[in-house]
Amino acid sequence: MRGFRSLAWVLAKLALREPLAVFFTLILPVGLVALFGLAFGNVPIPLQEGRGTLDHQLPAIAAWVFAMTGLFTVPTALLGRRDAGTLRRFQVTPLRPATYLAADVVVHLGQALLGLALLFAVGAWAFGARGGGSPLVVVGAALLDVAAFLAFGYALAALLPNARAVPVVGNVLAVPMLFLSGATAPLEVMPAAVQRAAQLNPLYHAVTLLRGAWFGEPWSALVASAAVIVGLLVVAAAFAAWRFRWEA
Amino acid sequence: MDPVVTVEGLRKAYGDVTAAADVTFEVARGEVFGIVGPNGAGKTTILECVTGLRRPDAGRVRVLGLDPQRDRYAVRERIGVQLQAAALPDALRVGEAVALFASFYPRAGDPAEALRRVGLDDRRGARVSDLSGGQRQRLFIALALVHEPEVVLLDELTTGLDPQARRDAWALVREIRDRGATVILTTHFMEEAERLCDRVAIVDHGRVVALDTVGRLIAGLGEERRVAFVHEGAFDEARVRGLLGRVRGLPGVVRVERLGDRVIVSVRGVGTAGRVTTALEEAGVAFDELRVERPTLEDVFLARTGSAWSGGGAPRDAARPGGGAPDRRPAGRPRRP
Repeated sequence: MRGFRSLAWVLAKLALREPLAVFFTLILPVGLVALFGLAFGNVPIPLQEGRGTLDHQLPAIAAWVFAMTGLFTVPTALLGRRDAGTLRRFQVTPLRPATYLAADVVVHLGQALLGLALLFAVGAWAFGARGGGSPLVVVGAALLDVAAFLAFGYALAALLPNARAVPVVGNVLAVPMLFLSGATAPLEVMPAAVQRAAQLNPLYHAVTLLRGAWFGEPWSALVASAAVIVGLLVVAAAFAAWRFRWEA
Repeated sequence: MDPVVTVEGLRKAYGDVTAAADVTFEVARGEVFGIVGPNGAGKTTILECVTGLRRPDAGRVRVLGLDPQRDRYAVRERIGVQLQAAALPDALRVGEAVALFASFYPRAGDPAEALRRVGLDDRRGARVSDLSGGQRQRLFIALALVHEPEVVLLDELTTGLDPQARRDAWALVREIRDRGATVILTTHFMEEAERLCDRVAIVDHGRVVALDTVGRLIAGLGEERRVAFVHEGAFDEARVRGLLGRVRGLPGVVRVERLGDRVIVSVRGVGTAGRVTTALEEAGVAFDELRVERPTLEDVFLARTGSAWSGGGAPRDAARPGGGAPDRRPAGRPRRP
């Protein structure tokens, strides 16, 4: 893994110099939490088993950030470097492809987890959001969600012709994913057909898993969504590894 | 000869387009070797097969005795490459880029020294996007040199550079050679090849049409020179014919050609060019744009391929069945007999 540390360090610095990605993964989520917190407070609502709006929304916003990372940040960065020929330039050095991908994954993972930490810190300290689940299980569920969406992002990068296609495809996927996730409006009030469609939505399962872990729900309630997320991770990672190209 | 790079019978095609057809050459240690030819001639493909970026369809490539496909990482540790189409992220800083590339090599050199060599030590904190074209190209050279490679491959190093930046790049190539590395470069600038290269392979449509030192290739043309001028003012046709007849009769004159008001006299031997211009002056001919041209690599290309260099690049689609070259020389260029 020669070059891993310096490459990860450079990629991390480059990530922080990308204003749009920083905004969507670090600033916007915290802003959303503040918005929810200031607008609704975190007053316990009897209908939501005594939980406040923010208690409910925190894991949903977190999962949404992970999905955004996969849909936009990962493929934009990778395809941008592929289009520009940066990856080709790396290819004529002794740098191994696996080292590049490992550094890239670590940086995206770090960025997503940093966003997650900010989110829960602001939610908990500023607005008193509480879940009640074990922190270890919450971190485990979050890691699973992040890993699946990162893999999804690499798979998307392997499919798309260039970086210009990312916002198009990303937005086409993002809108139904958000709508059918249960993050914006509770799915329980939707028609049965919509509820069935939501079962196909990885973000729905990511939210269900993370929210369940956050609320300390029993394993039996999480296992179905966890299985879907693990499935997405395995399939997307295998596809991305199979189709990865240094040049277009 | 101690070959550092050996290419034998290299073939590479992309679909129907043959980019390299039976390319064979050797590069000796310490040489500056040029792969020259018009755009689309196959230069980059040949270079990419040497770096291992492309797998040849057929033939044998060895770099420092290693196969760039099978021993790709061993080869890449010992070569330094500047690619034609390879940008760095805009937000990357110069110092970061060099330190990053140095970290990829087991025998990493000194990033600061690499920047000093290319004259960018005062731009260490600049973003790649803030560099001029010439500075960016020098940064790419620094990235190719940071691990002190034995072989340096430069693809179209000076394309898009202004004349001063081009001269700076040439000085750098000479410095690389003086420090003992072997240099292989591609260029479509004949002047660049003439000034920099110890030996050149002239490539056209994927084939090596000439391979030797620049001096020997030009000498092989028979050391013809050309006296070219434009005659001024209205002219009595009979008088012109008479005059050109007299020039044709001068010792050492090989041939006289006319293209409208442009006259090209091909001459051989010492002093012949001077005798031609003296004869013109004595005959009272007003002439302009007088030039005495020595043959260049362009003439070698013309002689070997039957088609003109046409700086912008020979069209790829022109099929050239045995010998019958299509006439794609620019207007005003005389046809060689």
